[in-house]
Parts: sequence; C-alpha cells; structure tokens
Amino acid sequence: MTAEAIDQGVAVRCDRLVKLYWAATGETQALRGVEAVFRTHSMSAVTGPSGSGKSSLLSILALNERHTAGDLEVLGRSVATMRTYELARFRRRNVAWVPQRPSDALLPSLRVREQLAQVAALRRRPAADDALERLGLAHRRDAWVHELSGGEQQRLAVLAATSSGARIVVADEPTAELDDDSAALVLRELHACAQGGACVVVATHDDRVVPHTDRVLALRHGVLSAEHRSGRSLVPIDSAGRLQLPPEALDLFPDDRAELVLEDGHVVLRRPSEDDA
Amino acid sequence: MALSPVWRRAPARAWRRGGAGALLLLALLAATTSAASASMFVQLSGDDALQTVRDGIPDTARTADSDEIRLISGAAPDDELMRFRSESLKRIPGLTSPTTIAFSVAPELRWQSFLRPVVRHDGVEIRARLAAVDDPAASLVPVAASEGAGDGVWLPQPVAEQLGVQPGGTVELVVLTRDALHPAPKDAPPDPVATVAVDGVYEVGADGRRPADPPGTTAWSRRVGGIPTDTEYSTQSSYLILGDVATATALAATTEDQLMWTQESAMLPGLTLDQAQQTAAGVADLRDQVKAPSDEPAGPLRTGVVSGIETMVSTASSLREATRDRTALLAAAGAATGLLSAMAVLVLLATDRRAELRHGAAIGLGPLRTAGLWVLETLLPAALAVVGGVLLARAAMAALGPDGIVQPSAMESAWSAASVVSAIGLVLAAIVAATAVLVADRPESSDRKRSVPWVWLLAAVAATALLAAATSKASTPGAVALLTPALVALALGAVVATVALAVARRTRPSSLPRSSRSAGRWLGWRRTTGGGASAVLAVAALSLGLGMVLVTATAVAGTRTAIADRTAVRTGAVATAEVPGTWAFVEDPPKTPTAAQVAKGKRVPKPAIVPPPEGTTFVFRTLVSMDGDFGYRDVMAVDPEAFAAAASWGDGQQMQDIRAQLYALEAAADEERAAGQADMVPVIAVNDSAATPGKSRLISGQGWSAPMRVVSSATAFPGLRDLPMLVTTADILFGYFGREDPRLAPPDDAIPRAYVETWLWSAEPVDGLVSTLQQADVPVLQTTAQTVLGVDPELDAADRSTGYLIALAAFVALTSVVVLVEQARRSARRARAADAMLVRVGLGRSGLRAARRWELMWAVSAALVAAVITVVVVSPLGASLFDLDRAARPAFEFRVTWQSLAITAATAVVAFVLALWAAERGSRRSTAEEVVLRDG
Repeated sequence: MTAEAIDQGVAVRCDRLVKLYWAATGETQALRGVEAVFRTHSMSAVTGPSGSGKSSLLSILALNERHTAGDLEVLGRSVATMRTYELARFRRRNVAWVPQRPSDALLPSLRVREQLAQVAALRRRPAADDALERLGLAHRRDAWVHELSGGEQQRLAVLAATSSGARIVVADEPTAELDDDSAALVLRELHACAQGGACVVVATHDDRVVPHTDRVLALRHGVLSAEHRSGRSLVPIDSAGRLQLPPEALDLFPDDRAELVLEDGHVVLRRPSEDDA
Repeated sequence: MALSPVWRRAPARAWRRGGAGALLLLALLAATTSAASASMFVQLSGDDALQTVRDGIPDTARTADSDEIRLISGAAPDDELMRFRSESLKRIPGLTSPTTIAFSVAPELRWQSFLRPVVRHDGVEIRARLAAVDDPAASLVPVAASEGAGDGVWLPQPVAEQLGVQPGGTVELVVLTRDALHPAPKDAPPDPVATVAVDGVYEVGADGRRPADPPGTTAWSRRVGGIPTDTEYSTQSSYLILGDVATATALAATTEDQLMWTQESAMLPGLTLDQAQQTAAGVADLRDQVKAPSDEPAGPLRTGVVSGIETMVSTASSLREATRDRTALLAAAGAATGLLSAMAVLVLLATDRRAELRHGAAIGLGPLRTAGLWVLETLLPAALAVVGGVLLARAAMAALGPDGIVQPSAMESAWSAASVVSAIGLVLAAIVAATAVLVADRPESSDRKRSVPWVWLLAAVAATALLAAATSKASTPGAVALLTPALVALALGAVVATVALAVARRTRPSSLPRSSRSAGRWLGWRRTTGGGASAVLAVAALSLGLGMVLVTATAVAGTRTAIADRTAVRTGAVATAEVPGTWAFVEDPPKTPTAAQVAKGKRVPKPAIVPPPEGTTFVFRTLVSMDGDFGYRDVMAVDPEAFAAAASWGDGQQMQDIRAQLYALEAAADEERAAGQADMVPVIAVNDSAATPGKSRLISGQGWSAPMRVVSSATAFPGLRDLPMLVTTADILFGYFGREDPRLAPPDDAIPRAYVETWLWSAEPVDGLVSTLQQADVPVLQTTAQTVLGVDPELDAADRSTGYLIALAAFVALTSVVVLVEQARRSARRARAADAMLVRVGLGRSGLRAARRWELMWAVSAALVAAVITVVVVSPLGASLFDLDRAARPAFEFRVTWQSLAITAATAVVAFVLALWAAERGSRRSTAEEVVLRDG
C-alpha cells in the first residue's frame, strides 16, 4: 500500500492475517486469514467469544506481536519488512496501547497529573491541561497510581493513550471495570480521538461500546464472521472467496456439505440431495 | 528546564514499593566489603607478621638475629667520623634513641701477648674488664651507690664483696702485662695504674658475671656474645667495671686498654611493616655508608654495622606479599560473587517490572533513558554500600583479622576499591535495565518461541571454568579459578532446580486433595511445579550461598589441618634440642675404642642404654647413600613408640595414618630382633620414589653399611627436611655401626667418625626441655621451638586467610538468603488474590501455610543438594584453589567434614525460617477485599 491508501484514510490493512501459537499441547491457530481494513477518523469494535482471536488481533494491530503469515500494513508500511528496532520505534511514534490491565499502561512512580505530562513530554506534544476533567479525574490529580481504583486506572490509561497524539489507538476491554457513567466518558473520549483523525480499535464484550463505534467486527474461531455497520449485518468474503456461516446456519448442514447454486443473482446454499449424499 | 518527576523520583524509588533497595544494598555491600577488606587485611597481616617475627626472637638471640642495630667501632664517640655516623644512625626512622656501650678488647687485639685487666683493692686482685655505658646508674640494678661526682666506676657485687670495697671508696685498674709465668722484658716500664672512685655496686645476672637486667629490659641478656670473656676462663663472661663514656675513655687511655665502642638502637615497639621497611632501608644505607672507602684503617677496629632488622623485615615482607597475592584473589572472587548476587537481584527486578518497562518503552523511555533511571535508583544503595562496606570491613578485621591498627594508607585503598566495585554495580544496573527494555520492547516473534536455555548455558560456563581450573598449570590460582566454586554452585543450583521441577511435573498426583491438610501439600506441589525462571533463579542464588559456605568451611578446615600438619612436618616436635650424644647423660660412658686399640684387638663395647628424660625421646639423624641411586638420604633412627608420643602429628588423617606406620615399623623390628641377629633394617621411606614398599637396598654411611627393607612409604613425616628420608629403629640400625655407634662416647684420638646428630624431641615447650638438660648437666648444642621455627610465609599467609575466607563466605551466604527471602515475599504477594479466594473456599490459613512450607522446603532442599554436589565436584580442585604451597607435604586435604555440613545445614534452616516468615508477613498485609481489588 502506498500514500494513495493513506490518502484514502486507510490506517491499517490486514490481508489474510494468520497467527499461530506454539504450546506444549501443540499448535493453536488464533487467526486464520483475517482480512480487514481500519481507517483513520473511525472507531471500530472487535467482538467475539473467548478464544475467537480478538486479543491476538488487537495485539498484532498494536504491533506488540508479529503475525505468522499474511500481510499487515500500518500507515502505509509493511510490518513484515520492518526490523525489530524499526518496528519498536514505529510503534512508539504511532501507536498507543491500552491493555486489559490498566496499571500496565501507567508509570507507578508518577502521580495522575504527571502521567499525561510525561507522555506529552516524551512525545514532544503540549500537555493537555483539561484532559483530567474530561474523564472525571481532576479531583485525583495528585494521587499515586496505586491509590486509584480499577476504574480510575482504566480511565487514566485511556486518557494517556488518547492524549499521546498516536495515530492508532488500540484498547483491550477499556470499559471492563467501569460503571455506565465512567464507560460513557471513556467511550466519548475514544470517539473524540477517532474524530480527531486517529484510527481507534477496541476489543470488547460490552454492548455499551457498540453505539459509539462506526462498525463492529465479529470474530469467531479466528475468522472474521460478520461486520455490523450502519444497522446492517454483513458477512465478509475474503480474497479466497471464503465466508463464515453463522452457527445457526451450520445446523442446516449436518454433513458439512452444501450445494451452492447461483440463482437470480443470489447465492443459494442448499442441503445436498440424498442422491448426492 | 525542570527535571521530569520520573527522574527526580528515581533515586528514592529503590526504597518505595516495588523497589529493591535493601536487597541491592545487601548484595553490593557483600561486594564492597570484600573489596575494601583486602588492603586492610594485607596491611594488618604484614604488621602482625612483623610482630610475630619480633615476638619469636629469643632473649638469647644475637644482634644479627634480632630487631636491634649496633654500630661498632674502635673509634670513640667523639671522633669526627663516628659523630657523623652516629647522626646517620639517629636519623633512621623507627629506632630508639641510640645508647652507647663499650668493652675492653685489648686482650683480644693483642692476643699474642699476655694481657690481664684486673681491679685491685687492699692487695686483692680480681680479673675484670673496663666497660662504658651512657648512664651506669640507669643501666644497672644498683645494690649500693654513693652520692659522689659520678666520674667513678661501678663494680659488680661479687667483686665488691671480694675486694671489700664500698661506694665512695677507690680501686685501681690496671692491664697486667706480666706475672710469674709471663715475666716482663728487662727495663720494661711498670704497667700503668689508674685509680678511680667507686660510684656504686651493681647486681649481677644468673651467670654471676654479666650485669642483671633492670626491670622491664633485657639489655644485658641480649648482649650474649658481645660481653668480653674472662681472660683466663674463656667460657665465662668477664666481670665488668662500668663507667660513663668520659670516665671509661680516660681510664682506657691511662691503662693502655682499647675500648670497642658500640652504639645500639632497637626498633621501636608497635611499628607497622611500612614503617619497619623504612627503618630497614635506613639500616641498609648506614651499612653502605660504613662499608664505603674512608680514611678508617682496616682491621678489627674498623667500624661495622650488625643488625637483624633487614632480615626480619624481609621475612615479614615476604609474609605480607604472600598474603597480598592470596588476599587480592579472594577479594576479587568475593567482590565478583557479590556483584553476581546484585545482578540476580536486578534481573529479578526487571522481571517484576516487565510490564512497566514495556509501557515505558512504548511512550519513549528507551534503553538509554531507562538505564539512566536505574543508575539513579541504584545510586543511593551503591553509595551506602561504599560507606557500609568500608565500615563493615573494618569491623570484620577487628573481629576476625590479625591484631593491629588499620593505617590511613590502607583505608584509602579500601575506599578506592569499594568505590570501584560500587561503580561496577551501577554499570550492571544500567546494562540490566537497557537489556530488559530491549527484551520487553521487542514485538513477540511469530516464530516458534525458543526460550534461551540460560540454565544449560550457565552450566556450560561453569563446566568450562571447572575444566580450565582443573587443567591449569599455573602455580597459583587466578581469580577465575577462585570463582569456579561459586559458578559451579550457581549452575548446579539452577540445574538441580530445573531437573527437580521437571521430575515433579511428571509425578503430579492423580487426584485432587480430599482434606485441607493434603490440600496444603497439593497446593505447595502445584505452586512449586508452576514456578518458572524466577524460582530456578532463587534456588540458584541460595545454592550459591550454601555452596560457598560449604566450600569455604571445608577449605578452612583443610587449611587449618594443613597448617598443623605441615608445621609438624617442618618442626618435628614442639621443642627439640641437639645434645652431644646419649653418652652425655651417663657418668663414665662406654667409649669408642681408638683405631689403634681396635687394631690391637680391643672389642667395641656395648653402648649404655640411656632412657631419655620423661616426656622426651631420642632422635638420631645422619645422611646415607643408597645403592643404585644418586644423592643422599636423610636417616632418622628412633624408638617408634616413644617417637609416636613425643613428635608432633598435626590434625589431619594423613599424618595419623603415617603415625600408625610406626607401629608396623616396630612390629617389623620385633621380627628382626626375634631372629637374634637382624638381617635387614626395616625402614619407612618418606618422600622417596626410589624406595617403594617391599624393596631391599644397601644403605651406606661413613664407615658402615646395612641392608634395608622398605616396610611402608609415606609422603610426609615429622622432621622431614629437603632430602628423601628413611625412618628406622635406632637399635637395629646402630647394630651395623660397629665403632661408629654414636651412642658410644667419642674416642680419645678424636678421629672423625660417622657424623650422627643426636636430638631430644619433646612435646613440651623448649624452656622446659632446656631446663631438664641443664639439670642433667648435659650441654645443649642448639634448640628449636615450634613457635619460632614454625613461622613459614606460606603457612602464615594461609592461617591469616582463614578468617578472611569465613567473612567472605558469610557475606555471600547472607546475600543468597536475602534473595530467597525476597523471592518468597514476591511469590506471596503475587499469590495474595488467589490465597484470599482459597481461604474463603475452605483451605484456611493453615493450608496456605502448609503450601508455603512445601514450596520453601523444596527450594531450600534443592539448594542444599546442589551445594553438596558442588563441594564434591570441586573437591579435586580443592588443593589447587586453596593450597598456598602445593609442593609442601603432606598434601592438602579438601574433605567435607561433619562440621562444615552442619554449618551449611544450619544456614539452610535459617534461610527457610526467614523466607517463611517473610512470606507469612507479605501475605497478611491486606484484607481479602483489598487484595482482590488491588491484585485483581
């Protein structure tokens, strides 16, 4: 992808993305050829049951891990061609990561107000003085990280990411420990960050997130099974022509075989006749 | 620009939550204390060595063997050249103010003529010689004194009594050149007479002649050999007529006597070795000055310098150099071990902070910045370690080191060494931090993860070091070799922990626990097998400490045994005295017939069998040649059973085994005796590769030869000298000597015969032995005392190093225990959330405690096993690592003793108890709700 793609607002392009993990029990395929595009000025949610691969996808999008196969382009650059140091520097400049455990995204030796100032200083950006008020942390500005509740840490971690000026913000379950009001603050912040030009990707189980996003990508068994946007639910077809049937549709094909018929510009899947079986 | 709070707070972070300040301080303290103590130990050892050498000077030592200097000359002190040389003597640092003494030497100078200095009063004439001292009244023990002008003389009490003269009276001094047997030439003028007042009468010493020593001094006792002899009986000291310098000079001039002047100084007490070296250099300069060409005529009156100071200082310096080399290596090894512990702490810290380091890298705190932050964080512990290390080293020297005062120069070196080591600690912190950031910041690879097999890498490094040390041809071990036991302990700890974990994982219980008691054990097993690299590292660190304790305790035991054994070999017995022969103990002993008598058919008499004085044994020594071999051998002929009781045998098993050979020798001798006429002389061959057990050879001395049979062999024996030695029974050996038998009194014709030394060996101190011989009226030719003869540089350095070794090992052990304690605390803290839930579901606090006990027992047991394996693996190297003189006999025994095992086990128990306490404390800090809230 080139500057042309960037001009078209593509921040991240995943092409047949595969991720394998090796463990003592054998190989695990976390992602099996995910194809997706994440754009600037947008906020996407990635959902799916446990083991669907959403954490792996987010980790790869945040450049914390390398993919096993396929292509990944971030801001016009192919990740596979970057050396380790290059990748680390690229990530430092362009990606902000909010982990599931928010304390992992905060420096324990700094107070609340100092966290944002430090990030701003390191990224050579002006400090956002009103940022704490936005997320209801102004009254905790002098507290140490270990004195904050889980929810407060979560909000602070999100704030540190959104005020860093990163072009890509990846958050893993940012509303997990938040009440409705706090969750709303966080989501508004993330949405504002997206509107400011960033590409925001959020992994979540939380229904409260969906209304704030431009689209929702559903992962199942390492494959992108559905995409919901503008009230519509779409089934992605990858470059190999594959798509994933929803679980309820699978029940219609107990033999794992279907007859595909093109009929009047539609694709119809029928259970094979008894002769074919 | 204001400094960011991350930087401002970095120095204090070590002491806040998540910091490792105390642990780092302890590890660095071990390193800095090792480094700082080296210079102090060397300086104290040198000073102590000097004092030991000085203390070993017997009262009867000659000046050339003592810590004194004498400037001797025939020129009077007011002579211009002597004044110059006196000033040079006064300028030598470290000496007492010189005192002057002079003795009459005219009879010695004009020995061809008849000269008899006498003192006369009222017709009574007594042989006595003129002498001068600075202040007679202060140099003597007055019996009576007059209140005269002080230009008179002092008489010895026996002389005053015989002359019937009191202080205030007068006497005449004259050097007689004639008597009835030595008439004067015709017309020879009369001998000049000097009349002088008697200022005082002084007490004489035990020999009835020389002046008694004033209390607290040995001035006159030490002048043995310097006091002139009686002109008639040369075995006795002369009576001395003492005056001050001016009086004696005038009297000598009047009576035509010649005085030999001596200016004496002694080394000041309490000198350090450095100061003594300056004194020795001054003495050497004075000696050169005196030897340089001058107007002084050659001859016996020419000025000379006599002193034992240079030799003494040289001996002490050799002791110090041997200690310095050894200590430097030990200090380097100790410092390296401390730094290794510090590195382990830093690696544990990096593991704890992995997420933080990753986040920091992500926002711009890269390797260099993080390294800088960690250096700041480590700064305070490092600075405290420098101060603490020097102070602790000083305290350790006071408790365990040689007696003495640490000098400013040694303290300076200590500060420098501690600072350098601490600086290295800071560099390590920077390296670990930078590396940890690089590792944490690296995106996880898509490739199959292969963890760095650090355990096996460490094992490979340790194996390489072990092999290098084992195959090294160096005569002294280097710092790397000395580090080998630590490396091996660390590696074995990691290996044993890894293997134990692997075995434990394969032997998991098949079912879940059914009671809370078994649940505790089950949980302990589960947590143990779940332990990863940090658990292995903690076991490795504890193994390092326990291994060093065990190796050091074993080395100290071996060193002390070697010292005792080698002192026994070197000196033979606590005291020995050479006597003319056993015949000297008998009145009218059988004599060796002269050659003429033997030619006329006179038989050689049987020697008198003289029982030695109680508690002693006779030892005969001579040199022999052996048929078919070159060179001489030392033969020691003894009474095996008495010798076994009287000789010194050290502490080690080797010497005890050798001692047992004496009984076999006696049994072999009994066999020969039972046959009536001994066929063979049974011997124990010592340090003799040509004389192996079972071999028979002919040995020969001057005028005799004998067939000998080697009964057994040994590598060492009390009294072993530089030559191979054969030990045999005296009665059987001397049966071959004929008229050469040393137990017979010498013949009248004084024809030299086989030279055999006769010694008396005793397990009691030398004073008692000499006293016994004096009571038996047996002349003593020479004596040796173990306390003096046993001063060997290598042995002394080894002895001094044992305290140092102990201190180093204690520090390393302490650091290792603290690493385990910290690991236990961390584990307990990490498990707080799970523990809170387990308590709620019924495991209870007792179950948790049981689990912790199992976990810690596993860790401590694994470390203890690794420590024991370490000492076994390292034992072949024990001699090369810890023996300062590998050529010495007997060989160094590096053998684990039950005491060293007990000390190590006790350390392990202490580690277990402390770790358990820390874990209990760590887990009780918060309520269950707080734990769940904080820890998730």
